[in-house]
Amino acid sequence: MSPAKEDLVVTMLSDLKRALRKPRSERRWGMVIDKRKCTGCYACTVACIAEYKLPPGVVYRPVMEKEHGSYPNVTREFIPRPCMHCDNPPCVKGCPVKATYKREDGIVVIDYDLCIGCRTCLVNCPYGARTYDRGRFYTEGTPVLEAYEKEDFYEYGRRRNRKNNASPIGNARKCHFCTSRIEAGVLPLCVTSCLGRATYFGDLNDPAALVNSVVVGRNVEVLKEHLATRPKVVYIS
Amino acid sequence: MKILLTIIGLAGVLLAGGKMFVWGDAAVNYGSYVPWGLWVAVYGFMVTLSAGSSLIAGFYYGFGREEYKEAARPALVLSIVSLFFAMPLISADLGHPLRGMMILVRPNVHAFLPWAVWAYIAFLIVSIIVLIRGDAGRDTRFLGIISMLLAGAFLLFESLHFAVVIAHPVWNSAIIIPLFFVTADTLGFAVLAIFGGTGNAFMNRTILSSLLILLGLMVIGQVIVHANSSPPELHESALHAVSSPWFWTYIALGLVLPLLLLCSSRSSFTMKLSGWSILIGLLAEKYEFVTSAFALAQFAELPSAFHGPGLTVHYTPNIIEIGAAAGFLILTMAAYMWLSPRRKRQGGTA
Ligand code: SF4
Repeated sequence: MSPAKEDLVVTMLSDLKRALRKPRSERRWGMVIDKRKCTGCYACTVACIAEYKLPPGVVYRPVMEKEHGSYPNVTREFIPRPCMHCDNPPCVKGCPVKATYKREDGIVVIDYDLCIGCRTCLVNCPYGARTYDRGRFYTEGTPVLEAYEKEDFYEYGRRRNRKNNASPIGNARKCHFCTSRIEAGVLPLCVTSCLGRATYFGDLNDPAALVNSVVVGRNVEVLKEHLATRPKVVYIS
Repeated sequence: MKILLTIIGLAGVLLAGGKMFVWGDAAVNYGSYVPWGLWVAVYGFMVTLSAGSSLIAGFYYGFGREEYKEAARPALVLSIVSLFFAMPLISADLGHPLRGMMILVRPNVHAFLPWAVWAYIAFLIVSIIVLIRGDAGRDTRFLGIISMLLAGAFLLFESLHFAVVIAHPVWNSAIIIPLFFVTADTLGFAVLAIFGGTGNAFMNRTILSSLLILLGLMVIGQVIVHANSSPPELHESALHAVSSPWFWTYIALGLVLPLLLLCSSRSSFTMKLSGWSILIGLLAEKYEFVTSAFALAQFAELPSAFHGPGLTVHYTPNIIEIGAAAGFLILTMAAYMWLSPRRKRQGGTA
């Protein structure tokens, strides 16, 4: 009997721990999404919403569905779309107050306390990866605004709460590769919740990391490559 | 009349204040896939109107052209008040209006918006000095030219703010820069048509007609090019335009009617009428310019991937947005009337 194969999540977790031993400036976080393995279950979308208490109208990782061909030769592909964490991010260039910027480890972040809510970054993102927090709640208009919607959550290493119209209400919001989690040595939620194990995450500067080896010999796709934004999320198709 | 307009305008300002301090962004219809709506369009219109009016004022204050003397002061007042009231309108559009000052405190010099804001402030200071000094003389020449240049600068930065958006191919074109300038010049000469002048009316009419034709060629030309382009965003924006009442309002009021009026009659009444018609038509054109870029989301599949408020490309401004936008436009008119009493005494001819 052959030994049981290690779950990809376990492999990525040890990759993550190895990366965290390096200084932040030597890490380069990236993601690979294997579209062939994505079943369109939306587990990543939902897990992310639950973790960050995302309100109506805010979504960090929608899964787009695309149909190809015509009957009877049709195929459907699922394209999860997190923030691309571009190396040449148009959202960062456009932000008038430097509230959004690229960290040295490659993650594009938003400083909620500086963001003025002008939505220039939403307009500038070619991937539609940013949504605007308009201060809505799922249970508004019902007899009771459910308490879970007003609970604390952690983003960018800080505890946040949307009570009393506080930021991030009125801010641009987007996927941040679960910065708080990875710094605590835990993989992003979309990775661990992915039922098809279609999402790979790790340090692109580590040649031994699964996120690098998984693309070898594969057909790698970069969304809107012609725009030269150099995304750090790529797809296997 | 002034008082009535001020009261109506202030009611609109109250709506904007309600959004800013009471209801928040849940009260407006723009969202994530149409992040900029009516307020951005009206702000763009007011800024362009300001630049265009400053051109007319600059002919007299900057270059001493006597034939523009009569229209110069009202045009300068309009230029100042239009820009002045565009600021609170766009502040109301921010998610955190009180943080708006951050643009001055920690500007991103790689973005064009902070440059535009600096140019606005410098323009307002210089133009108010010119206005206070009164008639053109050697001492106002220099400031008059600077005022004109600053208006050109803020218009340039505003146009670049749109033209560099690679996410929306409809805007991501160098043609946006001349489009903004021709729109501003057209608005300037429309303002001249309304205020009148003692100079060469034939020449002014000819210039205005030429600008209208040039602008029409640019706007209609863009729609035709986009309709025949393969990128779906361009195609969709062209479809959005031709099915939008705003586009046809522009064609009817911003192009055809004023051209007919300018060609058919030389009376001062038809000049004024064509001027007003152009103002309304170009306001509609600005709205169409801003919203048609969002006709298709960054991925066609995105709006159906997840549903929620603001996650749609269908946008119609609601009563708060319309009321506030109209309020600021009316308040601009009222402020102009309050600040330009001299002209009333003079009376005007076309
Ligand atoms: S919405 Fe916030 S992060 Fe985005 S460009 Fe404006 S200030 Fe910057």
